[in-house]
Amino acid sequence: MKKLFIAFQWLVLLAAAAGLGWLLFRPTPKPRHEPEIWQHWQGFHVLSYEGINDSGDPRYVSRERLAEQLHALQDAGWETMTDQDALQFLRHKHPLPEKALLLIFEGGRKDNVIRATPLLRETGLIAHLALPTSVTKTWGNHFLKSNEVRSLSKDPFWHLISMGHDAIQQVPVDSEGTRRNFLSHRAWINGAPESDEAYRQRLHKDFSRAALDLQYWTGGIPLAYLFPYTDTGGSAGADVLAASLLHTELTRWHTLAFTDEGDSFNHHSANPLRLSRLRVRGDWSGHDLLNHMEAFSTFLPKGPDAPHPLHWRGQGITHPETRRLILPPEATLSLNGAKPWPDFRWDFTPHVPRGGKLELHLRYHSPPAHIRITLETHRIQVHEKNRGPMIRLADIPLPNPSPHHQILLKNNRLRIDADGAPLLSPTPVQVLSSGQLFLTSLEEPCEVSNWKFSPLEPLYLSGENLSALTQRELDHVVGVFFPLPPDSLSAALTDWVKLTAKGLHTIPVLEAESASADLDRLIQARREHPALETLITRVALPANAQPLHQTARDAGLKLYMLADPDDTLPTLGSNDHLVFRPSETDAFPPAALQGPPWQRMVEANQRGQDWPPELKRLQRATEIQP
Amino acid sequence: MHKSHQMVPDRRKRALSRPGTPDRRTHFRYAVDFPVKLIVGRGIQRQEILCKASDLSEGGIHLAHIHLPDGTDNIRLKFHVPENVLPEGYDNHTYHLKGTVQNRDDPHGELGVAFDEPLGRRLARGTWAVLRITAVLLAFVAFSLILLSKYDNLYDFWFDVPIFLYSICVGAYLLSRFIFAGFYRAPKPNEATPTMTVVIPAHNEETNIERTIREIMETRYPADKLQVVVVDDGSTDRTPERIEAARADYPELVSIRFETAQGKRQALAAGVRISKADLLVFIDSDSFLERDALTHIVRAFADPTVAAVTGHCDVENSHVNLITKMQAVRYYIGFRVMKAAESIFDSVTCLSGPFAAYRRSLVEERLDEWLDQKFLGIPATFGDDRSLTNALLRDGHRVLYDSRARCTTIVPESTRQFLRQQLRWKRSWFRESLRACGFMWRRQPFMALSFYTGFLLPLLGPAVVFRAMIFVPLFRLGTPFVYLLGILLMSMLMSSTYLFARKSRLWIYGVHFCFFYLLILIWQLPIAVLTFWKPDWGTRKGRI
Repeated sequence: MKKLFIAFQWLVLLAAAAGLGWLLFRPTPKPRHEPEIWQHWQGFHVLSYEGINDSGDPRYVSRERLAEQLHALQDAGWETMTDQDALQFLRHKHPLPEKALLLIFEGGRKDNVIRATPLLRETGLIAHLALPTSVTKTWGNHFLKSNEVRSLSKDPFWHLISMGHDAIQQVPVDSEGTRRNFLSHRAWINGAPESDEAYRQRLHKDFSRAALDLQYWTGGIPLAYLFPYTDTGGSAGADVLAASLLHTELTRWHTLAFTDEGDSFNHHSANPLRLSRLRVRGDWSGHDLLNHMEAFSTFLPKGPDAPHPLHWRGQGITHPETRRLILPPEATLSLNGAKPWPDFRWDFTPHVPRGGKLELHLRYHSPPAHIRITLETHRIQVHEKNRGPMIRLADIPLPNPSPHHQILLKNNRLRIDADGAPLLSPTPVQVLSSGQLFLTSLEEPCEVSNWKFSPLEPLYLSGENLSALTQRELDHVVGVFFPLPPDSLSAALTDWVKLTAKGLHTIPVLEAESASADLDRLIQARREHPALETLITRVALPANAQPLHQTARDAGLKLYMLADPDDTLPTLGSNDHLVFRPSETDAFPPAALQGPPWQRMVEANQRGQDWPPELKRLQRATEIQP
Repeated sequence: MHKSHQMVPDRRKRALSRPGTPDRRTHFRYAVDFPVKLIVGRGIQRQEILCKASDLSEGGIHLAHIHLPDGTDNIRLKFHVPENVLPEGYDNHTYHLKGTVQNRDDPHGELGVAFDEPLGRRLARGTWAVLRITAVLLAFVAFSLILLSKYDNLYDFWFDVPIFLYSICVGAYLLSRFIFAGFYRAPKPNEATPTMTVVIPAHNEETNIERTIREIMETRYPADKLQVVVVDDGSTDRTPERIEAARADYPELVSIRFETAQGKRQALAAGVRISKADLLVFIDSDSFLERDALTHIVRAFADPTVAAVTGHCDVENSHVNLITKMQAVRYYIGFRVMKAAESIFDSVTCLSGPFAAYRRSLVEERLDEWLDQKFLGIPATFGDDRSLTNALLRDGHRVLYDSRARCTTIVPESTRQFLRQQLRWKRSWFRESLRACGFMWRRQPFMALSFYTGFLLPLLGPAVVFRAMIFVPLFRLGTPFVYLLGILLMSMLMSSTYLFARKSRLWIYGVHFCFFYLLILIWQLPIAVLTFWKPDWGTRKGRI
C-alpha cells in the first residue's frame, strides 16, 4: 500500500512537471501579421473596447464575451493590422488584407491588458492600447503604470496609441463653472476664456507631454491619437479657431487620429486624421458584432464590367429588378456601398401614406453627425445635426403627393428637385464627409420606387468662360478649373459666387510662365478682399513648381498640382491633390501610378466615352492624398 | 483572567491514581465560581433561587450558598460560563438546563445536581452545530476564493511572472497542507503499553514544574511501565524545592540535578542515559499532559518501523491576552494541519519539544552526534527538537504525529518574550532546514516537494511583502489591497478550521496572527538567516 502511494505521488509529480514544462517551453505565440501577402484596397474596420469586466454595464464586455467576439472575428477570417499598416494604406503605399481590422482598447485600463492578452495570444490578433498618460500616475491598480507600459511596448501583440495626458479631463468654460471637454473648449481662466495663445499652449503641453512620456517609456512617439469623447471641436456652434488650433497641434505630433465613433469602416480615401471606430458593446454576441461590421462594409467595383455592388440591408423588402423598396412600419434599410461617396445624386419616388413618415439619412457616419430629410404626404423637412443640436434647414410643402425626387449632395450644398422643378435650392450643409444612406419608415409602411444612386466622381471641368458653362455640365462635376484673370480679380467675382452657391469648387489655374507673379497677386487680392478669401480657397499650380507649393499652403490655400503623365511625382502635402491632364491618346493612368487606387479614375475615364461630347474635355482629378 | 508572571492555576479536578482517591472520571471537572439561577416549581409556585457554582463537570454541577426547599428534586438551571473557565467550546456560553438533585448538604448550603443532558451533548445539538456549519461555510468560501484568485493569477501570470509565480506557489502550498491534513488519521488504538521513560529537563521553572510532574504521574498509563525523570539543569530559583515537593507525593520520581546549567540537550541526554525503557518521552517543564496522552502516544509504536511520534500541543494560557490568543490558533494549525500533513508522508519535520516520544535505541545511537552537533563550526545549542528529528529523518525512519496524544504548554505572554522565542525558532528552522535539504529528496516525493517549497517560500516572503506593501504603493502607486485580501483569505481558512475543531471564540485570532506575521514576524526571518549561529536561549531567560 505504501509503495502504491509513493508510485501515485511520482505519477502526479511527473504529470505536473510535464505540464509545467509544456507551459514554460512551448513556442511563444506570435501575432498573425503577414503584410507581404495582402492585396486589397477597400478599407479597414476599427473596433474599440472601453473595458473588460463583469459589471454588466453594456459599455464593457465580460471576459467571456470578449473571447466569443474575438473568436468570431478570427473564425470569420478577419485579420488585424497595425496603425502603421493603416497609415501606409491611407497613403496608398501598401494594401491590406481583404478583411482588415484594427482593434483598440481605450483608456489605459489594466483590465484591458490583463484580460485581453491571453485571448490575443490565442487568436493571433494584434491590439492597440489607447493610453491617456496621466492615468499612469493615479493611485491604485485600475490603470497601467509606467513600468507596465514599458513592458507592454515590448509585447508583439500590443501597440500603443496616445490619448493625450489630461485630455480625458474637463475644464470650466464659463463663469458658472460649466465643464466641457479639455481639448475642444477654451478654459475659463481669470474671468475670461483662454486667449488663442494660452489655449494653443495648453494643447501643446498636453500633446507634447503625452508624446514625450510615451517616447520615454517605449522608445517612440505613437503614430496615432485617439480623441477622448470623439470631440475634435468640429460640432455646430463650436469655436472654429479653437478647432483649427487643435487640428494644427494634432498634426504636429501624430499622423493618424481616431475622431469619430459609430461607423467601423474607413475606406481608402478616408482622412487619416478623421478615422472612425465602432465601440463594441458588451451585450453583442460574436454574431451581432459581425453583423454590425458588415452593415458598415462597402465595396469598390472590381472591374469595368462589374455592377456596382450596392445593396440594401435591413428590415425592408427590396425588389432590385423593379428598383422598388417596401418598408414595414418602424423599419430601416441602409444602402450598403454608398459610404465612399460624399457626393452623390439620389433619385427616388416616395410613397408615404397619410400619417406616416419616411426619413432619409444622408452622410450618416455617427448619431451626432448626419443630414436628415423627412418626407410626409404633403411636406418635406430637412434637418442637419453636426455634433450639436439638430438644426432645421428647410420645411417645404410638396406640390403634390409622391413627386419624383432628385437629391443632389455635392461638396457643401444640398439641392432637392421634385418632378424636375427646384424644391430646395443649393443649401449649405456642415456635415461634409461621407457616410451611410439610410431609409427609415415611421408609424406607417412606406414604399420607394424608381430609386437610383449615382455617385459623383471627383470630376472637374476646365473652362475659360465660366458664365458659358451649362447647368448640365455643372451638374456632373464637383469643381471648375479656370485661368486666373490677367487683371483685376473682382471682375470674375460674380461668376465665382454663382458657382460656389451651386456647390462647386472654384479653382484658379496658374500656368508655369507666370505662376509666381500670379500667386502673389492672388494672395494679395485675398488679403485685400475678405470675400475673395472665402471664395478662393484652392489653387492649381504646376506639379514641378515646388517653391510655390509651400507659399500657397502657407497662405491657407488648398493645393492642386497639375501633372502630365511624364512628370516626376511631386511631394504631396497632407491636404494636397494631384491632378493629371492626360491627352486622349495617351495611356491612362501613367505607368508609374498604375495600381488599385487608380481603379476608380480608370473607370471614370472609360465611362467618359459614353458621356455627352461636351463632357469629353473634362479633366480628371483624384482624391489621392499623401 | 490570568496575570503575567503568575502560576497558571490548575482548576481541573483530577481523579488521582493513588490509593484512597476516587476513580478517574471520564469527563472534565473544574473548580468554578460564577452565579447560577435555580428555578423550581411552576406557575404561582415558581421560585428563583440565586446561588453560586463551585464545581462544574460535563454531567453535573456543585452549588454553594443555596437553601433549596424540601422535596425539590427536579430543577431548572440557568448560568453563564465565563471565558476560560471551561475548555474551549464550553465556555462563554449561557446554559439553560434541567437537572436532578443528587445530593444535598443543607447545613452547609451545598447541593449536587446532575444534568439531565450532558453539556457536550446539549451544545452539540445547538451552538456547536451552528458554529461548525459556520466554520464549514467560511472555509468553503475562503477555499473557493483562494482558488479563484489563483486562477486569476494564471491570467495575470505573464504580466508579472515572479510575483504571480510566488503567489500561485504559496496558495498551492497552503491549500495542500489543508488537503493533506484532511487525509490524516490518528494511529489505531491498541493495547500495547511498552515501557517508557519520561524525561523532563527543567531550568528555573519553579512556577510550573510541580504541576508538570503531577500531571505526568496522574496520566492513565500503568505505573509499572512508567519511569519519570526530571533533570534540574542548574536552576537558580526554587525549582529544586518544587521537584522535591513533588517527590514527596511521588517517591518513584527520579531527579537529577546539574549544579551548573549545561543546556537542554545535556539534560535530556542525562535522562536518556539512565533509561532502560523501550521508549523515551521528552516533555517540557511547562507542558501539561492530558490523562490519556501517554496511552495514545505509544500506539503508533506498535508498528516497528515507526521511530518517533510527536503529540499534539495546545496553549495552556490561551486567554491571557492578544499574544496568547493568537498563539492558541497558531499552535492548533501548526499541529493539526501542518504536522498532520507531514505525518501522512511519515516525515514530520519537527518532533515537538513539549511532547514527543522516541524509540530509545534510535536516540542512543545518535546521542553523541546530537550532543556534539556543530554547524559551520559553531556548537548547536538550540533547536534540539528539530535537530534530533533530522537525525531520524536522514536515516530514513518514519516520524509521525498523533493528534490524540494531547498536552498543553505555557506560551510567552509578553510581546518581547514572544518575539525572542520566534527569532530563536526561526534560527533553528533555518539551520535545520538547510541540513535537511541534503536528504529530504530521499523522502516521499510529495513530502520532498513540500519541504523544499516550504523552505524556499518563507525565505522569499520578506522580499515579496516589501514589494507589495512598501515598494508598489510608494513607487508604483499601486494598492496592496489584493495582497492583503489574499492574506485575509488564508487567515480565514485557518481560523475557520480552528472554529470547526474547537467551537471556540478564539477562532478569529487566527486572522490577527496572520497579519501580525505579515507586519512583524516576517521581518525576523532575514535577521534569523543572518544570525542563525547565535547561541541564544531566547525565552528560556527570565521565564514567567
